[in-house]
Amino acid sequence: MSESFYEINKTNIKDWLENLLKQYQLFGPKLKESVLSTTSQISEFFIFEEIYDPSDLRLDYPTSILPPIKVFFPNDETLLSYNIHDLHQIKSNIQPKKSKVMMGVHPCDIHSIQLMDKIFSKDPKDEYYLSRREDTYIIGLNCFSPCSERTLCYDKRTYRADSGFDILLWEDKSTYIIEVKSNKGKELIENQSYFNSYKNNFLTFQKDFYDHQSKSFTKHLVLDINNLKESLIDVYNSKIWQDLGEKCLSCGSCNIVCPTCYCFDTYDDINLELNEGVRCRKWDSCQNEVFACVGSGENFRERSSQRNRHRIFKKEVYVLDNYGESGCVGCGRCNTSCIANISLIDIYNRALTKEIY
Amino acid sequence: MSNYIPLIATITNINQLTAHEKLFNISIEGLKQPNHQPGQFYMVSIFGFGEAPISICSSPDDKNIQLCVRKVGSLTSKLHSMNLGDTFGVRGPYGHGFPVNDFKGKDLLLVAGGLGLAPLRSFIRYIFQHRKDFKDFTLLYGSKKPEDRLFTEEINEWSSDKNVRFIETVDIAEPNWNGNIGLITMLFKFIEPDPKKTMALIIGPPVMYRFVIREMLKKNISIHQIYMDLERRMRCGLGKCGHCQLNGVYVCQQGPVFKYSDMIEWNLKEAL
Repeated sequence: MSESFYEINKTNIKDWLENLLKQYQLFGPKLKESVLSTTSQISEFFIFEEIYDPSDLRLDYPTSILPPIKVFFPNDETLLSYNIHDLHQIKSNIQPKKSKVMMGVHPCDIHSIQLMDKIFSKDPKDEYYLSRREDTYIIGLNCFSPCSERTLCYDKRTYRADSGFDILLWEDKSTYIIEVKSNKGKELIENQSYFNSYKNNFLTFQKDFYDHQSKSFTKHLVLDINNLKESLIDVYNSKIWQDLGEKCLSCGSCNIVCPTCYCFDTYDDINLELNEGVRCRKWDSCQNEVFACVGSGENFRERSSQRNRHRIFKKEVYVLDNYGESGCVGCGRCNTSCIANISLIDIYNRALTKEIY
Repeated sequence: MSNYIPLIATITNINQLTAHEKLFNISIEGLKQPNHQPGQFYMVSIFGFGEAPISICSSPDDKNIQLCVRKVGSLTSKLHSMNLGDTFGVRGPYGHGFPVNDFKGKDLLLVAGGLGLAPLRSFIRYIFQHRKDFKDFTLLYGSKKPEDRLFTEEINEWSSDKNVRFIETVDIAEPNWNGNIGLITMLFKFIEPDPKKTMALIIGPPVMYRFVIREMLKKNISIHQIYMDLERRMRCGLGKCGHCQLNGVYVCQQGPVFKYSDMIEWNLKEAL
């Protein structure tokens, strides 16, 4: 379908959500906690979770601690449940289809959902992800300005999204302009009185919006990002990785908050009576020391430097080679979460400039 | 449909091969005959314990499916404690096995170290079952100690079988051992493979590969004729969980058998 444009007053968003909640499971950004810093500034932290009360939704969120993708790929997910005395009755825990709305997904996260769709749809398909992903409506939310100084979204052009959503919201003072991209998106706004057709010229509005973006977003990479893959390959054996290995505490936070990390481990959990149990998967981190350790004790990435290199290469070389796009959407969450202050921006700049200090 | 639901395997025979390895014959429910390729593996699943990748060590043309299991962790210990008639789960077979067709009409040089003989045995048995499809067949085997040697009955047969040139060595042995002593690379002085016709295959502990490759290159076998079966940690077997990843490839799906020239072309620096 061709795009169509509407408008909603910010004060009516609540009504819209009330309406959506009647029919859909709703996920969106909400406040997790406010922290008063020593300089008396309040920092707010957000999560992207199920919304039960419309007043919890905070579309003014800068970013969420965990990315929206985790709705489709939750931690500690049960794969199978079983009774060890009757292996013919193993039950798969694939979720029944449930219509969901993902409200307020930022462009970087829209890019990550598109990538993860490709990864989990690749044969052999992951039905657990796909069943949660199926029948999901995505309402994107454009970023007027960057959420922090630690993102690479401008360099990676992921601060905008042209596809991967059913509706895209554009903030315009006291209203949101609603760009309806798909028939599914149209369903979400049909027969609701608080949506008005957008009367002005959308292209003019869009141009102003983009102009503002160009001023507020900044490049962090000192050289052309298109050289990143080749540059990284060139510095495969450089000291960069040792330096990172010395700084990194192998905590795995970078992986856990990443919207394109999908490694996991599986484990069994059995009840006290030792008859009924579940087989689960939980998020795992390639920075975890034993991640590549085999039964005989051999560890194929024993050193932190090797694991750090693997994380970066997976994003910028391997995923790119296998799926045609970078495995990093530049959201900056890894940079924010790193307790050792490791920054992807520094790593990329060092690789690009071959600055092996 | 979940990819994680295993088929039910019943233990039909158990053979204690060494102090640490047992050979299990299994019958898989709903499977009339083996459907694996030599070199593929199953994710063995014991409920309450978890899953582990285990190579299939029987040929697809054997009547029974066999798994050779070393006792190393909780899952394999549990497996070792099981009896005839006990059941467990298997998912698979997974992976790209040995390049049987590329080896047809060629001289074969197969080199196994330690437990590597178990997966390789699926191919060895296949070769004997289709002996006319292959030319000269050399099999080198290295073990740590004489008592670690696997499939000793078959080794005895191979030793006297004109269809194969079988040579073995052990790293260390008591004086009563009459065979070769030394690392597997020492066996290369006994062989003169024709580099034009030879296809080679290496499987063993990680440390072994680079030394054996060097010997093969010294014999002028090209990188296009050397294959390796690589062990990695597989958790899902479905090319997703990331544990077995080797640079840009998932060993569980694209491996575990790789051609050396591909490994070089694909820049698999973590392989060796």
